[in-house]
Amino acid sequence: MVYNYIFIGLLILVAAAFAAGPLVAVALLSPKKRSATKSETYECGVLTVGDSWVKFRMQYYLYAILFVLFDVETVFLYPWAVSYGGLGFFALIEMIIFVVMLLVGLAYAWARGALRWL
Amino acid sequence: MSVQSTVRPEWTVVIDPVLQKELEQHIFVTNWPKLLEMIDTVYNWGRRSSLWPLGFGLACCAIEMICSACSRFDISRFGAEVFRGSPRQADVMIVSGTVTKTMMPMIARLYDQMPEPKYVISMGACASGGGPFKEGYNVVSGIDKYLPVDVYVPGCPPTPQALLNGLIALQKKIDGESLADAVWYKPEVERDIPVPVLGPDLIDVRFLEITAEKTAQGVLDAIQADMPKPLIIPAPQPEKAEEPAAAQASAAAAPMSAADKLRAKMGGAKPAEAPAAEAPKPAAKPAAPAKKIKKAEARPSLVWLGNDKLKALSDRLNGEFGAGTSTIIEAGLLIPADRLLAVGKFLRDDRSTRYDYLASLQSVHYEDCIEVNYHLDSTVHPGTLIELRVRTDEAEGKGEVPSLTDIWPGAEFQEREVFDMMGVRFKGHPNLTRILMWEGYAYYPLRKDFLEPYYEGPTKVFDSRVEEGHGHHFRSEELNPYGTNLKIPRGYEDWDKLSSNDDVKGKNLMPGGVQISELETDQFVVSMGPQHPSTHGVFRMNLRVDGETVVGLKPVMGYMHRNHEKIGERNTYLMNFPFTDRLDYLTSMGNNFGYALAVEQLMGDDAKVPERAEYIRVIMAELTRVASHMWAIGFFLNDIGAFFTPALYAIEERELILDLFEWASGSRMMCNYFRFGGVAFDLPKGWKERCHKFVYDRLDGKIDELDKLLTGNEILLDRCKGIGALTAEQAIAWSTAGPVLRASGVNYDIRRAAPYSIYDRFDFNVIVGKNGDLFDRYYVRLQEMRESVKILKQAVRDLPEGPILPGKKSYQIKVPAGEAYSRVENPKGELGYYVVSDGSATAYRYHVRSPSFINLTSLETMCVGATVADVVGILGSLDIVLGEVDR
Amino acid sequence: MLEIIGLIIKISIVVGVTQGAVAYLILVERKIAAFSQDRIGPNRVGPLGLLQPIVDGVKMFLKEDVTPNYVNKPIFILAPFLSIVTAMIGFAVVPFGPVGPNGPGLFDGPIQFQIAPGIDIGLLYIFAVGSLAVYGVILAGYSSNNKYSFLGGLRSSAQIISYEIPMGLSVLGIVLLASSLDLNTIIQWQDKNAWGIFVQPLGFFIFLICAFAETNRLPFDLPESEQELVGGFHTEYSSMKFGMFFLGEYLHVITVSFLVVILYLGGWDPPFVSLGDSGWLMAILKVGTLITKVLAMIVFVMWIRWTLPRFRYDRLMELAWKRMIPLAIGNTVVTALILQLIRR
Repeated sequence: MVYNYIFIGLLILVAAAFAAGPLVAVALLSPKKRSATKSETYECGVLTVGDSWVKFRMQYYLYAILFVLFDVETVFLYPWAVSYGGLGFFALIEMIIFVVMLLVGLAYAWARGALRWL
Repeated sequence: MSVQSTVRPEWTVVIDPVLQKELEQHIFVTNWPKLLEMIDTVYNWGRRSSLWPLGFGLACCAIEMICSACSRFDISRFGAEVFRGSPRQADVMIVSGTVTKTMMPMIARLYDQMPEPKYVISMGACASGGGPFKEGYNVVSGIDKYLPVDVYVPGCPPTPQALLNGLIALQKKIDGESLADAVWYKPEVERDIPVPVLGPDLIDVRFLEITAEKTAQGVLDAIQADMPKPLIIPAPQPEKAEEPAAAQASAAAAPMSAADKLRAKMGGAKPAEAPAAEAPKPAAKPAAPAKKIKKAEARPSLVWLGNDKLKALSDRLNGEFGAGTSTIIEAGLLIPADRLLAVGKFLRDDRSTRYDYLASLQSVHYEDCIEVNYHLDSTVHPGTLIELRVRTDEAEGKGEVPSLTDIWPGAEFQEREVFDMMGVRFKGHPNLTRILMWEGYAYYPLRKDFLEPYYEGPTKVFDSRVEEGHGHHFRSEELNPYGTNLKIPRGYEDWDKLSSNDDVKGKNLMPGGVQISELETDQFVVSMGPQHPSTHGVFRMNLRVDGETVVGLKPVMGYMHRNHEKIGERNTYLMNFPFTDRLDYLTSMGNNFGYALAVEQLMGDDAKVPERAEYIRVIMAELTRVASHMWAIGFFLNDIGAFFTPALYAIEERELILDLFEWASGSRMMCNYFRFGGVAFDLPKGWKERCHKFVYDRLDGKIDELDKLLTGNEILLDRCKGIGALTAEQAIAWSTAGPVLRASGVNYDIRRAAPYSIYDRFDFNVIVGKNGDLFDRYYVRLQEMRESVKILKQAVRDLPEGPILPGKKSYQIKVPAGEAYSRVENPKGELGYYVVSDGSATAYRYHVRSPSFINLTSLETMCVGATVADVVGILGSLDIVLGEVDR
Repeated sequence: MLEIIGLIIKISIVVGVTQGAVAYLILVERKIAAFSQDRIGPNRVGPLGLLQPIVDGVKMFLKEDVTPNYVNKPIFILAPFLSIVTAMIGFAVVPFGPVGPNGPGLFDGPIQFQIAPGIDIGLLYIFAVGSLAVYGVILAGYSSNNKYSFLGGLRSSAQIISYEIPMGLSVLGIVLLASSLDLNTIIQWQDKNAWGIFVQPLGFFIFLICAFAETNRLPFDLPESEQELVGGFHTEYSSMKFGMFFLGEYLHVITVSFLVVILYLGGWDPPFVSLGDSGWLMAILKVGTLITKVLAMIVFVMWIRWTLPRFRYDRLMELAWKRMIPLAIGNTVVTALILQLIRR
């Protein structure tokens, strides 16, 4: 079993080599002519005004938090789904209760406008 | 080939000559140059076959550039269809169209931001040397003044085939390159183009010192002081006193005699004496009129309120607001500036008048005043057009008139334009800044006393272009002491304040924003355009966004301002036709139509259009509408994210229409087909049959196909329904026109509201939408195509035989003095031409009421509160063409 | 030892083939675009334009690599690198042919058409790794210090995480049926019973839609959305770095297409006929079937791109949270209920 994860490690190494190769090659081969204008931020041909790194809209973070909640809950469902065949009727009831809790959470977020995009 | 010096030591070992020969025959690489040659082959092959153009188009040529991607030409065969929006990923910059001074800094910056190796294709006459717009005050005389051009593609515009040929030429050029002398690998070679500065004019920082020096000397002013100036006529006066018309005519005519000689020259007749350098300042010099100038019938437009009703209205105004409120001058009402607001409000709100629609607003520079005039129409009683006049101080920058933006918000951009071009200030205007030129530009270019840098005389053709005059042709550059299209007032001194990092055009138009969420987040301003994949040209919007929501938007325009009106005042009437083609370059036939009507209105019965010509005109105009709407729908779909497929399907039909145009007029895009009183050529043999077949057998099916494929699409509906909605009241108030106005439920189509030509004979419906949202605009256009086909079917069926011009073909057009405003229903909306004639060979004042420009006035209202994606869709639904927006 | 060498060979083949495939997929995409737009498409370099990807590659390598001044340089370089690596490692558990003790023998054991055949939580692994793909995009968007990139990066991160959930929920149905997270087991279940698309139609559609969203393909290509954000998160990228985002995107398309085929279209199980278990011939036929299905899936993905307009951002999020998630949960519950009833 653990052996297999070594395979994955190997794959990561190979993939990293494949990804790093072009970067190195370009660094070696390509022309380098830097200039002040070239190094400016592109914005449709005009100079950019103000900073791009700003305090951004709340919505994105809300979604991120919701994502973490739901993703973890989804992960809980996986082992249940795998072993569902061997479990009894009670497992279904339990799952439904669990899912209902999930849905209540979603409904709450929905009702509170967390899913609304301003 | 002597290769001794580069031969590697091991290869210099003396070997048997036979073996050496053998080696050279069978082994490729025997020395450095050969190796290099091989590498070069691969290197060049890689680059030549993968030329990704920077996705930006300037003007008319851009349309042909886009067409080169369509199925008929298919630039993708060369692997060059990958138009990249960002310069970082582009290999070749196709400068497609007129390079204006306002745009030049952006082009330079974009060029600099492209990674090496990079190439430039200069597409079209304008990009290569200024083209027909060369003498414009805002036109750069060729992109090669700044950028190193690799391939020039001639044509105006070059056809897609020509562009493909240019691409192949570039490929050949790349084939000839070698790594050994590739400049981008040489650190000592400077490849950067310094970004020019928008100061009092466009200033090339490389020549800053010499420019400053020449400016201080005032060389250009000295030269221009000796040139014949355009005449300035006095404003028309009321016809109250005995024979005032004659007196006025004489005043107008007095200088005409001198000018006539001058103007006669363009006709080829050379006057004996030198051009009237001594041309009198046309000030009151009551000399006896040499000949009486013919006067056109005084009427603001062909369909209007009428003399009697106007008299009644005038009397009513005088009764309502006190005597002297309204004076009738040349069938227009002269209103004193201080009562303008009250009169405007009255005219708009009074039940019997209901002048709720400000059709057009323009200004004329007279000797004694600057007149701002307004054409008003009513959507309740269409066809009751009247003209209001307001007069103000003539001196530069002194004029002031109350702003009408509170009464007709649609005046906003038009007033800014008048301010920009004439220097008239509008009191109470919310944001009175220059709109087409930039803040800091030294002149008010449409004033009669402004002479362009390349000015040579009041009327074209200029002497320098005629060989007999000088023995050889002069290039305009040779006549300007700066050697380029440059004019700076002598007193200018702020040279050290000039900075290419100063965004003079955009910085005054930064949208403010409102906080829309309770949690404090930062908003930022992002500039969309001038180079942007979906601004339909070099249009720019400064957006303030909070997340994805747009909380503020200011349009910035003028990047395509190529001085159509100023050039139009130097052109003789006939000569101006091809320029109108280039306004809205998708609808050249429609533009011709409007211009022809304006001058025909002045000419009266001299230019009575024969039956056959009327039918041909309508056929051409309606074909244009179909072609333009096809394009509009295709690219609207593109804007909301359908990747080019609908657009290219639409272009296919457009191509077939362009074929018909080309066959009839000789040019596919710039038809130049209309003439005063008719059309330029009769239809060629077989044209009618082909058109018949196209209209009867093909178009309906294709429109149905578009309808079927697009209209029911869920995503399209989701993107369009309820977005960018304008209510009927808003649409009227903002002076929107055409499909945009009708989509909001206003039944106002010039073809019905103020019928021109023979539209009253055809059976067709005015398509009206309900909600005024994106979907309605899309759908109105689609339905309008069906109606156009309906008209086309009738017109092609009934097309009579007969002459196509009232008389002989004439090159000397005599246009009586007077003013005219023509209105046609162009595909984009009401296209109006305002022409003031002083009886000479050129228009005294020539103004275009451009639907694209005025439709944009409502953009801000529609976009605020929408999302970034909607902004693109809304702009697409307005269907603007930059050639017409900025003129 | 021999095994390790074999494995490295296998990995290299997989990585090499997919990278090459990706280059050619770009050509396929351009050809499909041309086909759907009634054009010819690239045809000047090599027969039928077959060398076009190589030409593009050569050019990209030799193009100047611009790193603007205002970017966060380490992250700016890391982002394209990440986008390739994360798209690549998903392949570890994807079977591209039959796996099991009956595989055709080579050396001393059966060949396993999978890099890490022994991982029984394959599906979970794929989702875990799939979530990482967002890093390439969001880091690119953030580090560029360009407003368009920034917007693109944020859009992308919210989009990808939002669709992660319905995607994860939608496969629960098939997991319930096959009682396993191992992709091989799922294929075998389908081979024995019925394809996922027939027993889990709703799950299939939800998964398919999420797959489009996860790979940033039209109608969900909002992070790039050329018409709005110029180039989106890769606006500032040039040369091969830009090319790597391209590669990453197409790699992702390949992975996702494999998943759709494996989970819902029967994997290596050809329609109407049943293939035997052992022998070289059967193995090759199975690999062929799988690859054909995957290619068809990829073509379908591309075809959609050239056909549909794009969603608006807020509608996209609504679709995920207000439609897909409840539907996917419903699908799971109903599947469990039916299973329970059948079991009775």
